[in-house]
Amino acid sequence: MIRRWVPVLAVVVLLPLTIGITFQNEWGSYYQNRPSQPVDVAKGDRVEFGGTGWQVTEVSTTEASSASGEEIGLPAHTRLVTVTVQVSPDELIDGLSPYCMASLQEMAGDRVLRSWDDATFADIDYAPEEPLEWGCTPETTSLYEFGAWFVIPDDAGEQLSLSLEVSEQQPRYLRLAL
Amino acid sequence: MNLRHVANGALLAVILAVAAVVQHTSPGDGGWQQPIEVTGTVGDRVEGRNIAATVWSAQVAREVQTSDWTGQTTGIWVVVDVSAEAVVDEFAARLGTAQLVIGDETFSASERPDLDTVYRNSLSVGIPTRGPLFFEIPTDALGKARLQLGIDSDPRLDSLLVIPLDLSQLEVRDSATANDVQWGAE
Repeated sequence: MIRRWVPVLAVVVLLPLTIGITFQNEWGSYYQNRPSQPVDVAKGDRVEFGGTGWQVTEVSTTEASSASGEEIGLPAHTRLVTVTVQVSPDELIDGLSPYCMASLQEMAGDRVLRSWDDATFADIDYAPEEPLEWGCTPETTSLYEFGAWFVIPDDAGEQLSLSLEVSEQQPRYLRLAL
Repeated sequence: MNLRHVANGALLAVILAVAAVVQHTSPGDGGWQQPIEVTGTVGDRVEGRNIAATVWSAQVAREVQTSDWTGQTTGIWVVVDVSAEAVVDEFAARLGTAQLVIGDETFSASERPDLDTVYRNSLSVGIPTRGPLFFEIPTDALGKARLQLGIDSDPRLDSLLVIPLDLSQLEVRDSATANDVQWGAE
């Protein structure tokens, strides 16, 4: 009786083990080397991430059809979303605060529907006002604020999040609700 | 022959049949790396995984003009007015593949117009960029063609938008003027 169960047990153990090892070989590095594990932060909350404090302090929206939107030169049927992020570097790496990549995500629950890169190089006449930095600034090692801005279509939903990727922290990344 | 032998035989036959179906339907050679084609027509919005495009019109001319450039050729120009956008994200989202396939020949869009073409332009999610694609082809190549559009210069394992064009039906003009590239235009 025991001799019968040996091959069955071998299959039961080896099959999942083979699938698991194959998956890890093929997909492990794929998920490890990209932002695949969001750290969700509620609207307005401050979070400690990678030895640095992060908090969204202001969000504003400008419609293309508004006077400001026309002045900026937004394309029709779009809106500009500007986000101010306060950064408080606590732990420096080689004397620098962390560099980050910002993007805007349209969410449906926990699911990311669409995402937009920041519009620094977009063909619009907009720049954040002083003293805001343009994005993460590793040379600044004390408390500072940076602006990130995005041009999105006006059919984008209202559930938006700011994604901040710090390469040293991947695959974890920040997802701050706006 | 008892029932157990019959069952084993039937099971073996089923496994062989399934194996035959899998072998018969699996992509062969390089087929498993081929782009996934999405076919549409002129005037329709054609959407793939991370690219959507509408071909508005096509014209054929011996010389083309943009606001900053005049293109002359020993062959002939095919100018396609297209709007394109990304669908889900903007990471490496460029109109990196724009090809005209005529018979066995594949012609890539011209880079000669520099910034006056949507070829290799960055694409925004949900915000179309409209402008011309220029193809420089031999004069005797005017016939049935396939316009192929894709994200990145290597569309393998990703969507490839395919829009058939019949170039032989288009009037050959001496000169054609193309519109400027415009972000946010339908």
